[in-house]
Amino acid sequence: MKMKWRALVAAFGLWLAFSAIGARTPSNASQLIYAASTLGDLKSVEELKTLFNQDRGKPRLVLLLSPT
Amino acid sequence: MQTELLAKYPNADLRVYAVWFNMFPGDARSKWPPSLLTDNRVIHRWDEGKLVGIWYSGHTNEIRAQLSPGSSWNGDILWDAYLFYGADARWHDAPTNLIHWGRTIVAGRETLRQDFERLFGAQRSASPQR
Repeated sequence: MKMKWRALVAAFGLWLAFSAIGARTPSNASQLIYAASTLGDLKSVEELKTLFNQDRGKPRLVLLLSPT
Repeated sequence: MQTELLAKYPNADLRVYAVWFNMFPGDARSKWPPSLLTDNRVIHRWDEGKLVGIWYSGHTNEIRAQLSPGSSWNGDILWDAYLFYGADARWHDAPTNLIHWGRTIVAGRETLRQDFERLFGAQRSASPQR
């Protein structure tokens, strides 16, 4: 009986945890799309030139930065 | 940059290319700070060969007139710098329609702020108040 009770409590705890995650996921996921930055590799100046010309019609800002 | 400019003009239709490369002895790709520029208008690229900095350094004489007040430059690799181009800019041999460039970014930031305000200020005042 005691074992059965413990199993029920554990199952309820798991359900609660997954419900909480599920409820938070949509808003958090959309925030992550905007918040996460990715760093791709630039192999040539030509690649920057291609990006630059693809964005014609918009003002463009080139930043030259070092990581520290 | 993020808070002083991009966040102030959330509706500005612009593109930012953040080109990162090693300049200090302690620099490394692994030290890239992903939380520094998170605006989705920013494209980040790691330039291991410093190719863009070297390329720009070879063209600074042609764009000297657009150097922002307070900025100065003389070197082999342009870095800690910005170059701001208008919407009609095209890159054949070199990018055209450069509005201003600055080095350091901090030294040229007031000019950049003014250019942003001139280009995007109307959009900011037209955007709904929150």
